[in-house]
Amino acid sequence: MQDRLSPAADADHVMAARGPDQNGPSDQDGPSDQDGVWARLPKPLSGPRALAAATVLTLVATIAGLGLSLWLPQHSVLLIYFLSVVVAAIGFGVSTGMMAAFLAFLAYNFFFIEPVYTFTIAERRDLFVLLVFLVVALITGRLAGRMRYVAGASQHRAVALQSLNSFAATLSGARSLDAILDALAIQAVTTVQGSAVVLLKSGDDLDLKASRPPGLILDPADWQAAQRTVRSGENTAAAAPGWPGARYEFQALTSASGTIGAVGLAPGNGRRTLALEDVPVMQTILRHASIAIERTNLETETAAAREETERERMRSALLSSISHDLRTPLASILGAVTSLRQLGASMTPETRADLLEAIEEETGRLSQFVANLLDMTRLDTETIDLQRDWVDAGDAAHVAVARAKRLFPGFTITLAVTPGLPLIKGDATLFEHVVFNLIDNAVKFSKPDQPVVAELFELGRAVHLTVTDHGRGIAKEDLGRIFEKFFRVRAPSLHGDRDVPGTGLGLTICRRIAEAMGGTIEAHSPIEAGRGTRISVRLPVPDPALIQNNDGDQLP
Amino acid sequence: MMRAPRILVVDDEPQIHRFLTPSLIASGYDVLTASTGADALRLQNSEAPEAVILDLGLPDMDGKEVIADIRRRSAIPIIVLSARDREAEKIAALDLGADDFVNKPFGIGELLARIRTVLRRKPHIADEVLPRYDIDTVSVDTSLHQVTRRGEIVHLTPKEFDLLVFLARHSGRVLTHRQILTEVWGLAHGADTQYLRVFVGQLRQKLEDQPAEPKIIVTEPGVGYRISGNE
Repeated sequence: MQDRLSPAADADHVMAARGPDQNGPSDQDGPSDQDGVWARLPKPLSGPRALAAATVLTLVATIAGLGLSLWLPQHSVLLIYFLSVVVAAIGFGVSTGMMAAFLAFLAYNFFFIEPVYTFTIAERRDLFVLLVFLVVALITGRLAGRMRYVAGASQHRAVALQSLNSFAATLSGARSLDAILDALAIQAVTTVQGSAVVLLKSGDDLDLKASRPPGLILDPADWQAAQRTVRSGENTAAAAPGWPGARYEFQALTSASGTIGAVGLAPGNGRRTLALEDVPVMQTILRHASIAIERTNLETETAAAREETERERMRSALLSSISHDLRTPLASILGAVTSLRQLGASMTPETRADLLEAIEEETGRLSQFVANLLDMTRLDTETIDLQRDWVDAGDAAHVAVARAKRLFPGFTITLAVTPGLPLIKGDATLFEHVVFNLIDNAVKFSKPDQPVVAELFELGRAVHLTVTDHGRGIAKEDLGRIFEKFFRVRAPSLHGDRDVPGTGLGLTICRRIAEAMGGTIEAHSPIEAGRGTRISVRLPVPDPALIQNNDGDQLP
Repeated sequence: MMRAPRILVVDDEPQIHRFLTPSLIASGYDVLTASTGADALRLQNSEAPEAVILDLGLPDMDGKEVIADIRRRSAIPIIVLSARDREAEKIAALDLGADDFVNKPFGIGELLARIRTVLRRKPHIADEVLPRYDIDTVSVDTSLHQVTRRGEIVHLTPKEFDLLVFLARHSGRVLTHRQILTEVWGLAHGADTQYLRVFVGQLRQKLEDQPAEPKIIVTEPGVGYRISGNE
C-alpha cells in the first residue's frame, strides 16, 4: 500500500483511472474540517469540466490583466496568468492546470500581444516570451497538480487507515462468521462507494452470505465470474457498461487453506473499476476478513472438538458403567447356573434354592438396568414427550413398592399414602420408575434392619414423594452431585454388607422424569443423628380450572 | 487323611461369593472369603491358604497391590478374575506374579480347571530346569538338548530351543509377552513382540499337529501365551 500511494505514483495515470464521471466534490467521503486545507479541495477535474474551470480562471485572469495593464508594464500581466495556472492546478488538478496554461498562452497572445485581438505575433521577442511562458506554465501546472495529488493521497490514506482500524476493531469483536461477512460487506461498500456482495464457498458451490445494500441478487454472469475468481484465486474484472458479463469486480477471499470465497465490488457513480488507491485498501480489508474468518473457523472447530471429547467421555463412562453393571449380574447368573449343573448333586437343597434365588434376583437387577438404560436413551433423544395423562401417584407407587419388595425380600420397605391425593399430570410408568429407582437407591445404602420408607402427601398444590433410608447417609460434597449422570457415591463395602454397585443412572433418570413432569427433586442428608438420606420429589397439581377446561369433567 | 486344600476368594461383590463358596465347598475345597484387600492379606498371612482367587477391582486397594504384597512373602498360586476387555490389567497382574486369570463372566468348570492346574504345579520347581519335560506329544530333553515329537527328533534352532524350554518350564500357566521376551531374548527386548510371534509361529510349524489350531502353545489374545499343561 505504501508504494502504491507514494508521491512516485503517476498523477496523470491516476486521473485517467478515475474515469470521466468522477467529477465534482465528493460528498460521501468528504473529509472533515480538522483534516486541513488540502482536505477541503474538490476532487481533481478532467475533460469538459476541467476545460470549463480552466476557461473561467483564464477569463478572470484576462479581465484582471486588462485592468491592471493600464498601470503596469504589459508583460507583468503574465504573472496574473501564472497565478491562474497555479490556482487551476492546485484547485482542480493537473489536467485543469495544463488546460489553464494553454488557455493563458492563447489569451495573452490574443489580448496583449501586437497585433492585439489576433493570434498573430509581430515581434520575434514576443514569440520568445510567449513560448517561455508556455513551458514554465506547463511545468508549474504539473508540479502544483502533483503536489495537490500527493497531499490528497496522504489524506486518502489517513482516512483509509482510520476506516481500516475501525474495521479491524469490528472484526475482533465479531463472534460469528455472519457478523464478520456482514462487516466485510459494509467495509467494502464504505471503500468503493457502491454495492458489494460477499460469497463463501460451501462444498463446490458458492453461497451469497452478505450484501450491501442488503438483499442484492446476482445474475448468472455474476455467479460465473465469482466462480472463476474462486477457482483461480485471481480477480475477475467487471464487464464494460453495455457489454454482457458480470456487473461486479470479484476479488478472491483467501485463507491459509486456499480460496474460501469472493467479494464482488461494483463501485458507485458509474465507475466500472476500483479507484487505484482503493486497490491496496481492499486487499488489506480482505486480508483482515480472512484472518477473522479463520479465527472463527478455529473457534468452531475447537468447540466441536470439545463437544466431541465430552461426548466421548460420556460414552466411555456409559460403557464402563454398562460393562460393570452388566458383568456382575451376568457373572453371578452364569456362575450360579454352571454351579448348579456341575455340582448341584453334591449341594444341599438349601444351597440349590439359594443359587436359584440368586439367579432370579440378578435377572431382575439386569432387567431393571436395561429398563433404566432405555429410559435414559428415551429421555436423552426425544424432546421429552411424556404421555400427558392423569396419574394416580398412590397407585403407581404401590406397584413400584410391590416390585421392590419382590426384588429385595430381606428389606423392610413401607409406603404411606395420604388419602384423597389429587391426580397429577404425567406418565404413570415413568412415575413408577421414579418411585422404584428411589427405593432401589435407598436399599443400596441400607442394611436389612434399616427400614426404607416411601411417603406420598399433598402440600401447597403439589404432590410430594419422599423416600427415606436410615443408611450411612451421603457426604456433603457428594450431595450436590448425586443427580449427575454416572455419578456414584464411593462407599466402603464392608464384608457382609449388601452393597450393590449402582448404575449411576437411577437418580439422574428420576430427576429427568420429575423435571419433565414439571416438578423438582432434591436430596437431604443426614436426616437424623448423622445418618439417613431423604430424596424428595415435588410434582405440581394442575389448576382445577385447567382440569375442567381440558377434559370437560370435574375431578375431585 | 490330607486336609482339603484351602482357597481364599477375594471379591467385593457378594453375589460372586454367593455361588463360589458353595461350589468350591461342593468340589472339596475349604473356602475363605474376603471382600477387601486388607482382609485378603490378613487371611493369606494367618490362614495359609493353598491358592488365592482374586478380583482386581477392590474397594480399598488395587488388586495388583495385593498380588505384589503376597508375592513378597509367598509363591502361593494366584488366579485373577478380570473383565475380558481389560488386557492391560491382566498383563500387569501376570507380570506381578499372578499365575493365571479367568475372564468374567465365567462358568464354574473353567475356574475349577484352573484351580486344579495351579494346585498341581509345584511352584518352586518351576524355577529350576528339569532334565525332561513332556507336553502333549512333545518331549524336551534338556540334558541331551533334544526335542522329539511322537518319538521323532525335531530340529530346532538354539533360540527356538530356549523358547520351548522356557515355555515347558511353565506349562499350565499364562506367560505374558514381556515375561517370555525378557527371559529368552533379554531385558532390552521386552517390547519386541514381533520376535515372539515369528518364533512361536516356527515352533508351532515344527511341533503342532495343526499349526493353525495350536494345542501346545495357545494364544491368549492381547496378553500372551498359555502353555498346555498335562491334565
